Amino acid sequence: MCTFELLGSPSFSSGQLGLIIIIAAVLFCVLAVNAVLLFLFFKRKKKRRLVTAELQRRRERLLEELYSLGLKSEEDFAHEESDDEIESEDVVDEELYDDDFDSKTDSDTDDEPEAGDDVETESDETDAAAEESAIETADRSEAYAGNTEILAVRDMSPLMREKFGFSGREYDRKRFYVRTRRGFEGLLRTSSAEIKARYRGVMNEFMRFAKLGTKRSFRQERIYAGRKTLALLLFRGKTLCIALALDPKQYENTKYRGIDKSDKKRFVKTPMLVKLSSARKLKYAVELIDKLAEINGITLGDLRQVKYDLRAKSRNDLYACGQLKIFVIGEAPELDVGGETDESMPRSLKILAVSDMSAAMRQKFGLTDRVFDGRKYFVRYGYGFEAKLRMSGDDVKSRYISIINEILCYKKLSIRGSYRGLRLCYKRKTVGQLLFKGKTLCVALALDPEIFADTKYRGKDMRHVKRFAGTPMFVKLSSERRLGYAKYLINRLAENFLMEMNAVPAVYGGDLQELGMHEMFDAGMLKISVVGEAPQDIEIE
Amino acid sequence: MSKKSELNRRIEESKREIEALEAKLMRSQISITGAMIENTEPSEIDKEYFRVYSKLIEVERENLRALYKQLADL
Repeated sequence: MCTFELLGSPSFSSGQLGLIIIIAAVLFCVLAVNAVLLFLFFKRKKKRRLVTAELQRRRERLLEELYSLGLKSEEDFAHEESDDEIESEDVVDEELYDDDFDSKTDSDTDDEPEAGDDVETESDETDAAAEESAIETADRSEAYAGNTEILAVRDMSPLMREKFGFSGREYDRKRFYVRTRRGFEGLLRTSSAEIKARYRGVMNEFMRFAKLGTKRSFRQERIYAGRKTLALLLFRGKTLCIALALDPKQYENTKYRGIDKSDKKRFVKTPMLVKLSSARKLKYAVELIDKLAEINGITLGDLRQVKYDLRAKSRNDLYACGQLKIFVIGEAPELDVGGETDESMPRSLKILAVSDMSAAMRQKFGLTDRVFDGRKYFVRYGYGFEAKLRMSGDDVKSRYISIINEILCYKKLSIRGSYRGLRLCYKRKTVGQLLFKGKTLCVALALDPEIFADTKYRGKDMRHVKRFAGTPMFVKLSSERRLGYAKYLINRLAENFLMEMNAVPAVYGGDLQELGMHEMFDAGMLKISVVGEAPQDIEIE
Repeated sequence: MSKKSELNRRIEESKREIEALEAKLMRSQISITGAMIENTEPSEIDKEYFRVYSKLIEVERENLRALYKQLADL
């Protein structure tokens, strides 16, 4: 009665009352539809339960096996497409034991089985069971190796979508966390022109000799003479390397010295690893190839002109020809969770458990509540200059101190620090920068690189990069020799700017002690951005 | 009444699952049979698929039997 009186009160006209009733009805309908949709959604997502726990366990175990089989068959498909010539043993070696390059526990079998090799069939049979289990572990571990990135389904090729079962239109707007792994050819095709030229240089050298053959597999290219493996070409990170069938100890104290890899099964036949990181190293490698040919009695043959197709291929093309492996880890959320997120950052993703975060981190990402305790998140780490410096080795730190002491010799040449690096300022003008490129300490100076182009002091011309427009002479301080050159260039810089020297030069006395992740984060040296929640069953590397 | 309909629903679901698994099993089965006819060694992957799918069907059938039993006991 009271309600009717209220409704009938002169404060609402009949029109207004009608409008309120219509809005209420519409709101009610919207809420009801949402509830139904939510119910249907959760019903669909609900995990299927079997009658008994034992049956459920068996089913889950089998589904897990099925998942790992899916990965395995995918690799086999890629392999068949890319390299029909590789022997069956090679498939096991190349595809299934494709572990971390430096893994001490490398379970690699003999890397290059050849026709006619004395392979004991009995041991093959006895190893079969072990191999099978290794296949499974290798598959699973491989899915967790490599770089994690977010891949949108709309960017996938039809082949990729079909392989991953994302064919339906409902996947068009979805994104997934994936881990990728490029093969030798994939890395070569996507490498710089310099590396391609070095590859051509090495291969042309081999082509000079008679009766040499090459065979390319997923992770390397093998050069052989008859049954003997002479060399392996492979990538270590982005650096092209050659492993030669030479004794590294013989060249230990010479300019040809390489890395001794004889303790790795993969390099048993080719223990001397040489990085082809510069034109000089390529020259040494070519000389070593000549020595290798001499030792093995290989003579020069007819000059063979080989054309190498090293044109870059897109991700989809590389995937189609088996030179790129993609492992889908889980679905990425549509929206980012907390923190700063920058999709353009090329850094790879890591997994961080909330339990490993400091209170400051949890506060920043809004994960303070206890409900987040057991969760894991995909994060990106952004290491600043100081963080990288503190994390670097003693040699890098000593080079840093040496270069700073050199800078401190000059009057009015000041150092200003920022997250990305140090700026050298002289009378309000930036004359140099100290920064890290990867893990390498570098210096960029306000000098003309063309003046030093044909000298031993030559550096990279970076004037096309906005950040280095004022300091285009870019020098890596990757060795003591380079450090000496950099000091000379600083002297030249001082001459150009007519800098005066301090009567008593100051000495650097900073603290470069390594800090933990939490301390670096609190000090602003390390930036962490949370990209999204990771599946709870994912392992943290 | 609701328990009975719930069991009926789960039975239907289980039957559908078995049908789907049998359809998936068929692919590897065809491949293995083809290899046997041609006297060649069937692919390891196909053999593995066959083994896993047939075990999954077995588990699903056990589940179906248990569901029928529960329905009969009501």
